[in-house]
Amino acid sequence: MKWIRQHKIFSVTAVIVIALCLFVLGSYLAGGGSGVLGRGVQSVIAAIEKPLSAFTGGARDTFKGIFRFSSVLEENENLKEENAILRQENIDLSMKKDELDRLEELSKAFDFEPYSGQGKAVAARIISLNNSNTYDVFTIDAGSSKGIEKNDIVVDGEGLIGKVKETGDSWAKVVSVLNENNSISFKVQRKTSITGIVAGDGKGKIAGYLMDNKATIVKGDVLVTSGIGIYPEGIRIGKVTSVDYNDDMQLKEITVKSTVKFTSLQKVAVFK
Amino acid sequence: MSYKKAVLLFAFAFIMQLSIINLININGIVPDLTLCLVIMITFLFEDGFRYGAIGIISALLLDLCTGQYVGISSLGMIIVMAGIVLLCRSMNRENKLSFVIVTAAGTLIYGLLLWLFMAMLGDPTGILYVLMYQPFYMAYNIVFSFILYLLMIKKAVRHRNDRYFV
Repeated sequence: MKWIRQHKIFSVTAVIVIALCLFVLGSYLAGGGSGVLGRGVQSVIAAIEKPLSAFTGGARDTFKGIFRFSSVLEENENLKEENAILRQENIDLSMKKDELDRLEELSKAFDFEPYSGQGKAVAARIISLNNSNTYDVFTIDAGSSKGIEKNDIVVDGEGLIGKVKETGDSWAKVVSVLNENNSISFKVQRKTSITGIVAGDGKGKIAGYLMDNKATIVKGDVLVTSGIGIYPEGIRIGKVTSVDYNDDMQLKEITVKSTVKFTSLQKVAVFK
Repeated sequence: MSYKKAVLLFAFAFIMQLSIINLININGIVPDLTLCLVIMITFLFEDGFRYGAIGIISALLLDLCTGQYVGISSLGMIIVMAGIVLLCRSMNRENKLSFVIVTAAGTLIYGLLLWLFMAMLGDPTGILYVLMYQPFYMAYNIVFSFILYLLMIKKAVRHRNDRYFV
């Protein structure tokens, strides 16, 4: 006791360090969860952050509008073109719908029910980001009060963002596809028989491997979720940027760039 | 500096860090306001270590909100603070260059510590990737810390171990 009194600062620091180590250990053992106390604190913080993040989003859009007027005009033209293409595709798809209805009837006859993919969606705004440039974990302003649960799927118009890791009453923590612990089963949109597994590589990209080494996958191929695991089928994950054969592992490895622009992400949709 | 002021400063930095600071996001890189404050307070004030302890709580809350594991940033910060306290014994605290060097070194050590802790918990991110972005974090943190330094230097009490203490 005398020694502790004589070395007060050192003793307090040692106690804090031990307490922090226990925090880290507890968090690691809980799979990154925050615990009851942590969830309470996050609810308070989420309430403070919500109006500020709305202001930030608004201010960012205003500044972008001023300084990027010419690029906004160009983007508008591109969107017009894309809209025209999509309209045509819509017409084609409605024609194919009749064909699909007939096939679904046929599948019922074989007692097979494909996933409908029409879960309840909740819109949410990102209220806090960590200050790393990996975008692997962030918080949104909707939680269990809106029916959001752990492992719900988070998307935006561009594709898959991630899954809900933890929820509070008015907030939810999302683990993005760029997180290395978030494995996703995929298939190639061009040829759906080619499947594999991807996860974040810790460098802001997605990396993974193919199930079949002999399958042909090329740079630019679009990957979508396969429906195996918690992610429903058909959500865009990203585009293949490189394909390599790993001699040691005897696996065909790929690197993928997410279709989602994480650097400008503000609003998301959560699907149950 | 009083504890009340330190708490207000860290609370302000905490709220800004999670929201407004993203307005000056360059390719995902933003200044770490809590770290800047911890470095500045520990470097500039006689009992900076005591006030910096509020920064540890702030870092813990930041981890709660956006971190993968809770407590990692606080651990990194406490080591950086200890380093600054030791370093300050042989540095003139009123010298601006000393402050820039301490901020740069603090940012780099903090980044490497975070990488080390995450690697110990199974994160596959390579050290080269972390080092690649460190100069940008250092530059950003130096700019912000320096602004804070200029604002706070007049409020700092002269240290007994400073060269011109009378």
